[in-house]
Amino acid sequence: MSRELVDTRDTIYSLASGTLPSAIAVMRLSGMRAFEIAGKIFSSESGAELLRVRGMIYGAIRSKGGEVIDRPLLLTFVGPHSFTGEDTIEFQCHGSVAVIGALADLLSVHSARQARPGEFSYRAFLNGKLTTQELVGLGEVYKVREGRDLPRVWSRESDLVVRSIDRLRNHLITLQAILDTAVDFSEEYPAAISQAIEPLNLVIHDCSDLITHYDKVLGGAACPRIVLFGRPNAGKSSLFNALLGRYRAIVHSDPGTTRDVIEHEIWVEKRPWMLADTAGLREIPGSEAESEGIELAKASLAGASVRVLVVDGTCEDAPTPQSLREADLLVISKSDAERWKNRFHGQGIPSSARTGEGLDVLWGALQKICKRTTDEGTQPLLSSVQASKLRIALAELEALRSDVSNTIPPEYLSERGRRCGFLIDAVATPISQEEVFDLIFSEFCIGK
Amino acid sequence: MFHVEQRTDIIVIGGGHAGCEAALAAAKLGCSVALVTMRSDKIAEMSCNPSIGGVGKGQLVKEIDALGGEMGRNADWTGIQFKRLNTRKGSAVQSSRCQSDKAEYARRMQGVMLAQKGVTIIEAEVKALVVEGGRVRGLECFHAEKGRSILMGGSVVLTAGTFMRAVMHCGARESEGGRYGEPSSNGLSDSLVSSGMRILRLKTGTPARLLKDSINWAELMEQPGDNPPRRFSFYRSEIALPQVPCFLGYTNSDTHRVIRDSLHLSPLYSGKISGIGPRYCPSIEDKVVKFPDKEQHHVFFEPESLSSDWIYPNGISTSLPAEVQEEFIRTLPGCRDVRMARPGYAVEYDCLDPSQLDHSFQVKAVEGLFTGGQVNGTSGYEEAGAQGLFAGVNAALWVQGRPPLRLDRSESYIGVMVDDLVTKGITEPYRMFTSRCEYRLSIREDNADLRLSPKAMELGLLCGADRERFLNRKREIESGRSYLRSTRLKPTERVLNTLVERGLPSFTEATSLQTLLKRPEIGLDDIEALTGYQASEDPNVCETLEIETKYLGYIAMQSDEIARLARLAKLLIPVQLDFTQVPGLSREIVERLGQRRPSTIAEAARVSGVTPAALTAIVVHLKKGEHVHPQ
Repeated sequence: MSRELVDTRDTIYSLASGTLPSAIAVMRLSGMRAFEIAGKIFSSESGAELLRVRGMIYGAIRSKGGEVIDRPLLLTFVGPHSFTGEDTIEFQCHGSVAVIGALADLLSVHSARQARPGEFSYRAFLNGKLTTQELVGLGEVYKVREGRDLPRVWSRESDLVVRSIDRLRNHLITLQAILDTAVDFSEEYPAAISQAIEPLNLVIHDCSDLITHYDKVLGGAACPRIVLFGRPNAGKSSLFNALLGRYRAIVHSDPGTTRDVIEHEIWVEKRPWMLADTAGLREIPGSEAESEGIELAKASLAGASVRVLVVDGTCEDAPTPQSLREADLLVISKSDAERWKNRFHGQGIPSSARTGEGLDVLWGALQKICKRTTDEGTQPLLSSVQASKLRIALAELEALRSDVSNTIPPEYLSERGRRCGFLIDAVATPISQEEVFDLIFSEFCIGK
Repeated sequence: MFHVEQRTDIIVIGGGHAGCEAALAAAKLGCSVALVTMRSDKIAEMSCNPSIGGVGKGQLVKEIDALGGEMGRNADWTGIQFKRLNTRKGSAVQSSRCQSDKAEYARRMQGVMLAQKGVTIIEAEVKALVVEGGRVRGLECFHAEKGRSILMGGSVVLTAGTFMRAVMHCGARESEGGRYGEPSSNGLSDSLVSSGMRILRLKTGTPARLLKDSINWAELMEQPGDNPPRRFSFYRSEIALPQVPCFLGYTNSDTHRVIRDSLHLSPLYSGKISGIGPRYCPSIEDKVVKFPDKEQHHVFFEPESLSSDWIYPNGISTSLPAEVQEEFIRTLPGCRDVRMARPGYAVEYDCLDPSQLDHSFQVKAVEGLFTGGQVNGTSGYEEAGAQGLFAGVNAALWVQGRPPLRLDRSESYIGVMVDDLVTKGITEPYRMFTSRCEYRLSIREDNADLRLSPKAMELGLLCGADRERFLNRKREIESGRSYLRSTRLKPTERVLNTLVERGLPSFTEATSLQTLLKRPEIGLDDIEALTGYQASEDPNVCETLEIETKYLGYIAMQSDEIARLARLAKLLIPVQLDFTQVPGLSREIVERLGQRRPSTIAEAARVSGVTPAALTAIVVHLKKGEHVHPQ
């Protein structure tokens, strides 16, 4: 947020509705002088004066020369009972470019200024109408593209997340209590560190659980992903193109993706998904670039909602048991080839990108799985800020786990533990040293 | 008839470990000091265990010493066993501890007090504070022979320890008094309450004392001290007394059975004691009840003095009746025929809620009144000594119209303790632990003088030879640092051979000595073997160089955090701020902040339950206020 935004003495205006022209356009004016300015440019139909009360009035906006610019409906909000917490006027005008242009000019003449992006929300925050978390949450509401995701975004603060974060926090307190005992009460408990690994594993488990779940539905803000994976030359890219060619409703390439994972948007079950083609997975990568691609593919797979394993039907190499376990769908490609053979006892979907054989069956199966996946994700979600903080905490926790097994002295471990505690601040109430002591004194018999 | 004594700059109430440091520091700053104590022969008495230091506490002793205090020196001169704790751990949390000859400890400190120019010792009981217009003017005292008298002073330092309305418990027996055989001080806490202060009630305890020749020492494990012993003091002192061992034994199921069967006789469990005891120093009955799964608890048998045959059994403080004490102690190894010199007891006493103090330990409600030690709700000689010194210095500076000494959390354990007490208050007797300190990798025993002695010099607490000694050490460390940083070692054949000889891993490129020393397996002695470089003849200089190099990465990380907090500490919260007017604060947070009245955002952050979101809300509210009401 730029520093200039701190200036809250200005009265600001902004078009609150969408692109012009439109049937109705909503212009909002907020600040100390909102009523004063509105009183100068607006006269009510009944001739009554504009009073600083909450209400709805019909009337006319007139230029300095007295000509009518528009006949809008005026909504008045008296601070603090408004979105920003300040006095606010809402002009519901006819949505013409000319009307809104003239109104904006008129407001500027009376020393109101065009709001900067985010300034209304910022004032709401300053005035205690929105918390930081609500601000972030609100941002994500705008990003939601699917009606089904809305309840989850709105219910972010609900019990379920709070409870799982609480559990994580408690494990973290236990962990810290053990690490601090190892430093401060080493005489009483010389082997305290050996007890650290259990709560550490629990914290790591909780933390990655929350993140995985977040990734799976991506907070409802972006698209969940369908990932095609398999050995090199299994026919993933052909299948990728075939699916897009046949089913994509809206296609726009996503330039943000890496060169080794290619993604396109595709609509399945009335919502957008990302279909991702990954580098072929094999045990011994041929080159360094390829091994990098494989790492990316693995990461993409880890964050996937639906995993489609593509197996070359003309090749004898069997997929690894692990990839079979991970797969939601199995596709046996190149069904048009002579040497094609189903080695999976009739399981899997035979398909040919060239002839189009099996694509409809695959599509039907995908629809079913996608529907199931989105229906499953009814748990409330973390916000993106929380998720990213947790990701950093997770990395720190994993570093701590390797430090513990490398018998690093406990005061280092304890420092790392505390940093993990700071990192979950964004998600949970900060851990105070008193809470750590409470646990130490109740669980450990301290004192010579 | 009232007898008005001559006016002094500073009056110190109480001659314990806090009172001694307070009086000495104030006198060193040039003030005339009257120390009022009920018994001058009990000045610097060790009421409980005969030892100084320990994990977290050794750091405090070193800081007292660095600030020109007496505790470290006194411990050196009178110590009969020295031990570094946590030596197997990293050096940042190493702490020193010693067994003291309790009689010698008190005797030597009394000598120092008598020798200190400007300190007068007055034997009397303080009955009340004389407060006029919200400012302390002096004391009303009582002396058995002289009767009542008024003592006038520029400021008063209250270091009354556990003596205010003190009650001792031993089984069903209850007697007034703050220490075995000594009376309690009544009236003083009433006087504090009538000046508008909140009083809390705490409890502590001490074990029985045993007679040395009634113990079969062969059944216990000998625990020798470090050889050679290492001193506390950075400055002039000596380890002068012969060194002796301690002994270790364990409780067993018989001990626990005796205790369990007699629990109803313990005033702790009959509800007679209401004061809150420390959870980190539980009585043996608490240990048995709260940790039933633990099959044994350790008991250290510590000599009280070379000149007495009393033994302090560390680990079994209790308030059970004397007969039960004898019965359970007789189940311990070597103790079948033990004779008790004196039974253990619990003591309940009044203390101040320390959140009523400001960061210089001046009572907010009474100008000129400073407090330190157990009256502030702490426990331990080291905590008391450190606070006494801090309160004494600030009382003197206040009388002289000089700005107070402030110690930050990021520079000292004393700063952590002061800030904890003042911003958080207490829920049990407060004891120092290294975990209380956010910056314990940079705030260590070995560098206490580097951190604090410059302040002591500036104030006038450190002078003459000690000053020289400090400046010398500082110079050596600084030149050592720059040598290690700027000297690079090439992996020549000779260097590689030396590495192999010493069983160290080799390296391939020219590397700075600092980088080499960062490695956990390499020490300064290895650097000397490789390069012939000797940092100093003083082992303490080498120690500091080695430790700070090892922790370099972490210390840098903590410095960032210190800088961040320093920025927050600059964001002042106006005294008149009404937290209920800050949007977005929960009622609970408003209540806590209203009670503690933090003066900066950094302090607010340490009030328990205050979330980062709440801090943001306050900062935003203040910034907004600045704008709406430009100055």
